Amino acid sequence: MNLKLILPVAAFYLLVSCNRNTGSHGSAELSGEKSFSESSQLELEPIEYMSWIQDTEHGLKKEKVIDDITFSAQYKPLAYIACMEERKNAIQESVLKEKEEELKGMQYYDLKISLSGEQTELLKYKLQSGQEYQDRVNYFAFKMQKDISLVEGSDTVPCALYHFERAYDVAPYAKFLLGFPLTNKKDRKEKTLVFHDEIFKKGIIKLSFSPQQLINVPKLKTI
Amino acid sequence: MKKELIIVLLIVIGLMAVEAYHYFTTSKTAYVLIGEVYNKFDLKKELEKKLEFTKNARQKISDSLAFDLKLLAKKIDDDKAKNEQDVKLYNLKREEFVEKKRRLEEDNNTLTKQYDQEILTQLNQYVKDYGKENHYTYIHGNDGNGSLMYADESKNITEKVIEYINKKYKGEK
Repeated sequence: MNLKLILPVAAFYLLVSCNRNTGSHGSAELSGEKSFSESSQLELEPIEYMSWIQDTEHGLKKEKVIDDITFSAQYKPLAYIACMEERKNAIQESVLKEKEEELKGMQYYDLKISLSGEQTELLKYKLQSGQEYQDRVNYFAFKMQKDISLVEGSDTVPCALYHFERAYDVAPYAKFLLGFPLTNKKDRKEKTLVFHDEIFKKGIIKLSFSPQQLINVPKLKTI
Repeated sequence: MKKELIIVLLIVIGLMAVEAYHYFTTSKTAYVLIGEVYNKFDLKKELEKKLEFTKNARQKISDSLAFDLKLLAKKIDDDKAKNEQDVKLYNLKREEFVEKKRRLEEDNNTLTKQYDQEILTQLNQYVKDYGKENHYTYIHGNDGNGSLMYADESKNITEKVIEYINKKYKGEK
């Protein structure tokens, strides 16, 4: 009688166990990003709002590691830029409206290139000569803009706003503030930030944002 | 009833322990056909197009210089007196053409090597990511040079890896 009970339980366990293993062998597993169905209902204080936007699990910040370099892109909703500029625990509705008015018509991203586990200045990384350093500074400051674009469906939008935020010896990364004109298309498509890395020779870097992730952004609580 | 439950629990725990031991001690291996992975990698296709575009633009510069040179050569051939200035200019232009052509070819080779390196860097990274995510101990690369003499077809994960690396490249993963 005992065996009658034990055997089916053991068989069931083995079946579940085998199925689970087969799953992990299969195609590279689905990403574990959170569901956003509820996030659009959220209304957050500036600090919470900013950390929500910066949380990679919410899909507005994408990262890609190639060798020893990490490339990351942060999508910046207008309210997020307002929070970054105001740096206050509470933002007035009128201030937010004013900022949004000022920034409208464009979409904004930050591109960050950083060294994994290195503390040297990014521009000095694996440097061959002093001249190469100058070339890198020159490229980051003036020429890199042409190597960046935003792909939306079949449209390729060139980078219209570009600013290199130089870190000098302070941080092992370089940050670029980017802006692209908004396309007038009503149907929302995936947005892919495309960048051809000419300095560290890591190839074309693509970081994609799904329409769902871009829509379901919480609201900023204002006073 | 309580005793039965304890026995069932013990068996389940035992099975879990066996599975855990198996999981941690058995190395998971597979192989990919390197040529196929390389050729079906989207970055390779895109850089190939970019390289072709650059090479064509450079070829146009080279063709244009060659055409100028031919015109000058014809002018000298047609001139029975063989104007000395024209001959000097021809020699100068010919040297310039040879030098320019050499430099363009060098640039093409450098760019080809750079793009190859970029493709391999990303390819290696993504295969490494695939291996880690799917708990492989080894993923062998079969390129037909004899380093992998035989492997069962069930261990061929080429298609899965191609799908993964292209998704990773597109930034979808």
